[in-house]
Amino acid sequence: MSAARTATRPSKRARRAAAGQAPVGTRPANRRPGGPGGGRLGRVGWLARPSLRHRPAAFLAAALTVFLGTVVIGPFATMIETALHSSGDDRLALLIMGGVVGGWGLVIVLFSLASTIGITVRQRTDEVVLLRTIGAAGAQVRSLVRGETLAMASVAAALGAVPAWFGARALLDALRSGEVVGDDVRFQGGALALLATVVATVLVARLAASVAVARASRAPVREAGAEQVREYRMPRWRLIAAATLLLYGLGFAVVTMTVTGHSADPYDAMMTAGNACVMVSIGLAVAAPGLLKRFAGRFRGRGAAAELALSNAARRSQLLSATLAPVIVLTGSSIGTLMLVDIDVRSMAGAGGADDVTTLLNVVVVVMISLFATIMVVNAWAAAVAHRRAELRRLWLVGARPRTVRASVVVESLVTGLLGAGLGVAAAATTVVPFSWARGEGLVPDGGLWVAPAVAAVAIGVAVVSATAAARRVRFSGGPTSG
Amino acid sequence: MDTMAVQVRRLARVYGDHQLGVRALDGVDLDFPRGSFTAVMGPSGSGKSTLLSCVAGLDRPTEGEVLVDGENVTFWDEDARSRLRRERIGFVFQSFHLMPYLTAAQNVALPLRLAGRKADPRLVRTLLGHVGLAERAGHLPGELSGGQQQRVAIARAFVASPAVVLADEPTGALDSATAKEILRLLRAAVTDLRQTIVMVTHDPVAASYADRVVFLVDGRVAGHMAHPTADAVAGQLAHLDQLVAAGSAVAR
Repeated sequence: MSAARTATRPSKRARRAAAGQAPVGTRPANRRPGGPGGGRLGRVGWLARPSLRHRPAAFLAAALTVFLGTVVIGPFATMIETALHSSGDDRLALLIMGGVVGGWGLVIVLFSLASTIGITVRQRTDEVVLLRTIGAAGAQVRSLVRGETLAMASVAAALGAVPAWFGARALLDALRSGEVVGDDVRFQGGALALLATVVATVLVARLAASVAVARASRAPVREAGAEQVREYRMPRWRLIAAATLLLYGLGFAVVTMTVTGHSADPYDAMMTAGNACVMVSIGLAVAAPGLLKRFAGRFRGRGAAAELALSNAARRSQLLSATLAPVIVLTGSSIGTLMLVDIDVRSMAGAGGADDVTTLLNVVVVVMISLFATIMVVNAWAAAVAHRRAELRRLWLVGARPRTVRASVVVESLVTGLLGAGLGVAAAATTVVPFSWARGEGLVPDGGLWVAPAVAAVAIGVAVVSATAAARRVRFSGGPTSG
Repeated sequence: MDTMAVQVRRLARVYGDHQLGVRALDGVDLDFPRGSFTAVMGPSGSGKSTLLSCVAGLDRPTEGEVLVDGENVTFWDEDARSRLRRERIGFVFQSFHLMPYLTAAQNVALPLRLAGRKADPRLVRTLLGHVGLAERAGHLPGELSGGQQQRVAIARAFVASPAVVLADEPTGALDSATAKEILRLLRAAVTDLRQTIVMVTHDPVAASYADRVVFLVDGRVAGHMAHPTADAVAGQLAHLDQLVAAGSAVAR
């Protein structure tokens, strides 16, 4: 047995050291695993299967996001492929459908995908730290996480391509029967477009996994393992990305009021105004951790549940921000776009009616974004609560009633829901105010104001219901060591 | 040099500001000879766990150096440190730290697999047999009792024939009967197999299984005791303040 071997003769390393040879580990330049003289690294791919089987819920949540992402983006990519095989107005209509509508879908899907994968990977920090403690190299841990994500995303995206293909046919049929494109436009295979969609989705999932595992796999092990409950500061890239999106979105609002609002074509204003709310929503969603910290830090809770919820929201804003971001995107882009359509229909009534195609496009955008963002809210709450199961149990062990613990999670969802809906309304205003002004209704539209509170209420409702459902799944009975 | 498994020289670890921060370790000099069993004791916050972390390369010392097998590992980069842990250091933790989704046998073989070596099933079986778990090789950690999980962790710690096994409160989460079995296993590994063990513990009974006890107070070595008994260790722990006074008097 190996332990006995050391006793009888010194190890190879000891002999090397005794002989004055350079030890295998001392040359920082020699980092290539498996390179000559470097420490050998074992393959870790075999760990992926038992690991995935051990966490079916987190695995399914991530796979579902990838699957739905492919289903949403796929049809629009196919529209672009079909456009390349047609001509004239049909070609333009298809390109707008695929490029503009699909483009927004792409941005939102990729953002959600990155954040979901990020949560699922960060949930595994303990496992990563343990593997590194017993000697796994950072590269091994990274390749394990990347490999798992790659396998999961490839299967989920490939499965998603099937409904995406049917979705593409249905979308084209809808465009034909809505007379957006001529009846002679033929559906073009879609294989290339769907393949591109699958590849893009898988690559983004893999990139998100690499970013999420970077800290735990690179920092000194003891630091990587320390729980991050110190002062959270948003990384600079995040601030820059958020600021860029916000400024870009506000830029569209300004351009609408100063340039396109005076244009001869009434739809020029819509082209610019429509982008503003989506841009600003995503910008605010990127800045969500910082915003949540500021917001929750202002309140003092009454009662144990509220106090717990607000402290948690303020101190661990990165964790809860994953549930805040989709609420902002959901309310911001839905309210903005729906009111945009409403103003358009009203103001064009005298001029031969609103453009049906544009209305259809906008409605498709809203439906797509809302559905996706709703699923993301549910998903994010399931993941966030699953991540904290042990911690919630600990509260119970120190004497909190299960009701109080669950109530604190629901209060958290109210806080993020309210903040998200509020920020969403603000983001929507960047579309609604300029467009209303451009169409001569003044800064406040003449009608349809009920849309904002209605959508906001739905978004808050979705957040609260998903948090309640996730909290109900936490079990409090059993011994103190389990969980 | 060659007879020392681990040496630490003027080891210091400061958390936070260099001047005002917490000095978890403050100039520790210690030698751990091959085939020795050392218990490290001291009150909470005396730097015991920080010492283990620095030896294992889990944490970077602020000052001083760490030698494993006579080799200075202080300035190794992260990759080299992980190789150090993989090949020369075994770990036993208070909370076992087994991978929950791997069987006992897979957990034991994991350090070898990480090192890209073939995990000889006979070796794994022999080790599991040594810790009395030959029948449980195919079980997941969740299906084992605390004592059994800790025995799997011990088998894992020894699988790569490390230069030293670091045990951080290995019996802290176990009842006293199970704790005794674990301590007997560790003792046997030192006596029969000439392994080297450094064990951090609060428990005078656990410390009495060691060859020597090192007392740490406020990040400094406050005293040594050879051939410890539980009573002597308990007595010494009760009067650590006097040890500190005597120690600093000697140092000056």
